[in-house]
Amino acid sequence: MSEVTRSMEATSGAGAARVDRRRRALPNGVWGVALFIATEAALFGTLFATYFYFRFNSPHWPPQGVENPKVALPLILTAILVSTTIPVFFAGRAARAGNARLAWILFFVALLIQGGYFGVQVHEFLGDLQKFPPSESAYASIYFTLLGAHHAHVVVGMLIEVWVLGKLLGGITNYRLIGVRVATYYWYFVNLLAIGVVFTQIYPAL
Amino acid sequence: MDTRGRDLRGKRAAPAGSLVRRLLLLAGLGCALLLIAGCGQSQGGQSTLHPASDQSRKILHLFWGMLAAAVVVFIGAVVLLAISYRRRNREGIPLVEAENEKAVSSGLVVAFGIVIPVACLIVLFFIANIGVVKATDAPAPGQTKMNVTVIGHQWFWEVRYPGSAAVTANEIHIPVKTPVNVTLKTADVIHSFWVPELNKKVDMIPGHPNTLELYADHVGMYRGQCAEFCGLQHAHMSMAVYADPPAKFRAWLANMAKPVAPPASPQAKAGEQVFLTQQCASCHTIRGTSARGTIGPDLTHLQTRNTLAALTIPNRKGYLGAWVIDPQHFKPGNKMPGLNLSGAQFSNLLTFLEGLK
Amino acid sequence: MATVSTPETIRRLHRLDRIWQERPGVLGWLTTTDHKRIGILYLFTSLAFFAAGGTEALLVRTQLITPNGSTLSPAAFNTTMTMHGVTMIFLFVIPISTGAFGNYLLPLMIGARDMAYPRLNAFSYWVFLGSGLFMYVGVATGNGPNAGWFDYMPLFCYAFLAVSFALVFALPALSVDCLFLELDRRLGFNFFNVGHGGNVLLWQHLFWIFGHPEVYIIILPAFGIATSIIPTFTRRRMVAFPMVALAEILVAFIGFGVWAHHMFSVGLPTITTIYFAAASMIVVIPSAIQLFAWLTTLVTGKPTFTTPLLWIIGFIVFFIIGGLSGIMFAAIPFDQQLTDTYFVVAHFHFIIFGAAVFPLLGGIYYWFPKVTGRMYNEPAGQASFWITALGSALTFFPMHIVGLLGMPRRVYTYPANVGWGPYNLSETIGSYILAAGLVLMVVNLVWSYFRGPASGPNPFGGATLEWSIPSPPPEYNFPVIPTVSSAYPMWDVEDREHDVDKLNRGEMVLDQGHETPASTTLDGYFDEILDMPSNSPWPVVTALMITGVFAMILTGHLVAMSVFLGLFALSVMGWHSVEPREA
Repeated sequence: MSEVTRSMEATSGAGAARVDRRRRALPNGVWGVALFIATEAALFGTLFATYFYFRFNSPHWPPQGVENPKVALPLILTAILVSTTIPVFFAGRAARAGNARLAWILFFVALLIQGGYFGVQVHEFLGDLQKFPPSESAYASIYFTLLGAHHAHVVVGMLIEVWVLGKLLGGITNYRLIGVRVATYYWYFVNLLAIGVVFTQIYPAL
Repeated sequence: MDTRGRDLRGKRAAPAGSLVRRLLLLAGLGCALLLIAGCGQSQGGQSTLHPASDQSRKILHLFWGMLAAAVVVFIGAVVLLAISYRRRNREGIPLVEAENEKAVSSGLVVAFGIVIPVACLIVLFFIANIGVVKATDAPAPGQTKMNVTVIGHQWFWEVRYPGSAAVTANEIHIPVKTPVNVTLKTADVIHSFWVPELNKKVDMIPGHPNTLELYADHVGMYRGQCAEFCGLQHAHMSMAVYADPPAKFRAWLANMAKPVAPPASPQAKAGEQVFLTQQCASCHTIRGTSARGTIGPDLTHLQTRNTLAALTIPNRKGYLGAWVIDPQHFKPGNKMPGLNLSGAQFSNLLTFLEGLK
Repeated sequence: MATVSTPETIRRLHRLDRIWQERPGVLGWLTTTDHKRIGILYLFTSLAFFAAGGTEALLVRTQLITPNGSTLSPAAFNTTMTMHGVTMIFLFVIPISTGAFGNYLLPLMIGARDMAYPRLNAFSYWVFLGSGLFMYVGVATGNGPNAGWFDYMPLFCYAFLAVSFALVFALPALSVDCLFLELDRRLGFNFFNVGHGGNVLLWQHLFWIFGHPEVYIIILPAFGIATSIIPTFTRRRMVAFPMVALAEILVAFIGFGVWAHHMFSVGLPTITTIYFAAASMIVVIPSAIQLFAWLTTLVTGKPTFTTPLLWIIGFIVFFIIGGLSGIMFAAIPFDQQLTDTYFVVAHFHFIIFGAAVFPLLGGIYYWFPKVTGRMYNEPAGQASFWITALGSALTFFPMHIVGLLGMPRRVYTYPANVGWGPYNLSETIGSYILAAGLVLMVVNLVWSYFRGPASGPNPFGGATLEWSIPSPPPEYNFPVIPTVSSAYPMWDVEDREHDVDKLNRGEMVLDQGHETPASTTLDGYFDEILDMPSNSPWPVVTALMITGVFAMILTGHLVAMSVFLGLFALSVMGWHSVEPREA
């Protein structure tokens, strides 16, 4: 290997963290998740816009015969989900510092909380589906589509975490570090979305 | 640089020789065609070039103005292309321009790409979107004395006159020189109501009635057509607007409001029974009989109409008979089934239908 | 590369050849991640769809040749017309511009050895191929921006950057729209059902929020090709380069604020229509800047009117006409009078065929020598341009007039007494002439592929980096990562000599693996060497599974859908099972 390429590689290996971060290229994995989040944000933007488009074109919201949504339970659930930002954040830091064990534990804690959250949400979702099915109103149609879309994102986030947990068992490499970073960014996004979704969900009762 | 490639480039050019001439020819041909179109006469057509109302005329004048500006821009661009064609044999290779040239060419781009277009667009904005828009907007409810409701169906137009029992289809009568407020609804999918010689088009949206003003400044027939794809027979969903002298219009409306007179002859009476006992009455209404169907057009005064099937065929005996025997022949996919009638039933039915005056 | 001669240099080139060698045969094409091979797959697939869409157009025109025509039944006409539109937009223009031109040329223009996500790139092709309906999802993820030599990109690359961003943000609206429709149809949801509080206009809003940026997605690659061809054939740099680059990016953004100008006749409040009309007028400005930059470059250069430039001249003429008729639609009352008539059909065919497809055809001629190593036949090339342009004018210009005479779009027939006959006759004759021009082009290129003279690396004296390497390019593209200090690197003679020196010294050859350089995000300095994935079976397998998932949803086989979903998850895991070589 030539001298020039060798010297360049010195900046990309394990000692990467010591190089001035402003001069570093973003890894392709991070570009990828940034683009992915951008499309997902646009997708949810469209769902939110649809919700309020219906809202402002309807005389009654929710329509007559449908009771106002619960307020307390969705807020508490969302608070619990958003609180997993903390273990996810520290898992990312631990992985960067080379502590695979701590990162693994923190991700596992986050996964447990998120799993619990998801279980309760599915229960609620199925219960609501009995009360006001989407075949009866546009309100129910957008309600279940918005919530369903968010729950699907939670599932994908948990699958990514499972994958990261599997990878971390084999120790930390540069590639896995990027994987961890991608997983944390994705969860920040899903948690942020959860706040928007829950306030849209409970909006008629506010 | 590859010298071989240069040789290949060197032996081109002859066929490109008439580039500019051809472009000019093309432009000239286009303009000529347009002029011919503009001067041609149309009677009962639906041309935006033959306005019969203030609204349509203002839109047409707007178009001529924009076209004039567009022709100037187009000629300017062709002149630039012509100049560049003349420069194909100039001395030297320009690769990089001198600093003073750079300022000049950037200045040109700023002038022609930003300054002049912005100025033109501002003028256009105020003329079109502040001025003409007001003139073509529908009047506020209650502003006009005359009101008509038009309901789009797959594939015909139901026409109602609020305050009168009159209902008809596809042929809308209005008094001449009188603003008429038209409420536009649909019974099924999105349609678009468009009579170009009288006004712009407005869509018929489910659950969202729109309004449009119709005004005709001379007596005549004005053709219109559905302008939003609405299914299989979108192409055969036309209408005619008749602007009548006020007295004639009043007589027409008074007749339309009346139920139909009882059949005069025994054949017609038998025909009425065919109409009521076969499938006809389940889709069509004839006021004055027990036929109350709403899927097809109201046939109460069928013989006052000049056409059948939303202007698809003329309303004459031969056509009416052919239509009843095989409606799918003229307008495949329409909702009227062919009926299995005996010869006598058929001729009685026709006699009855011809009496619906 | 004139003076590559030292034994050490030749050994380096052999090493690169060995490292980047593609698998032979069908398996090689199935598992390829080479951007050039993917580009060629896109090219042939989208051209096949172009032929299908063109045949549908001829059928439509044949039906309309006379009043009350009876070539097609109403149902067949409506199907053919719809397929023509969907095929041309989604299966031809977008895939050929971003998939074929973007894939093949972007890395070659910025001195890279592959696209940023080679396997995702291959995956997106296979999804496009496997499912026409859902292909656009793949295109959106296939062409993300990469950390290339941002500062020195040619204008072609700026255009594609703008397109990629527009795709990322516009497509989700269409995806959601289709999701709503599918939920309505399959599960009885009520998004568009007025009886239960739904709203049919929602479909139109969402469609056009996608649809108008989509117009710029279609047109920007054409602008990029025009700004590649014009400097080469005028022997000078583009006038007002920074303004053109900025205009290309701006147009993609402003395009998001104008969607409702497609809906002026649905009865929106007047004040809403005025806002959208104003926004639509603003979008004219970036196009005007580019137009005059092209014209000024032509006037101040020394143009050579051979085939590629002729197509660009045709493009400029058609774009001016289509652009001017487009501005007319920003006048609300005029829009309300002429929308949904043949005047609109004329307008968007001048734009989509004249302004978007002409440059693509010119681009095929322009880069044909680069891809095949052979020259096309010049007189036949020029003839194909003139025949196609004449046919297009005859086909699309009379549509303006027949629209003004009141002919609505999407009618399968028209009566004899309204005076539309002669114009429709001209349109139909024109469409056959147009098709003849395209057939001549195909014949020319097929013949030239086998019999054309060798072209050499740079037959036109082009200014961008793809012309610095042999034709066809080697699998590794560049033997040495090139030095670039302007957007016209081939005209910077010193840089090119410097590259040869570097190769001889073994600097920046990157011959230790499947490697490409990465640069810092904003200032474009060389940063690190990336180990790129090579041949992989996972893109095609994963694409097959996801296509299966969507096909099963659409056909209502939910059990089979779940099986495909599981297989899809497994193939994603397989995809990520191999980690790149660590430095």
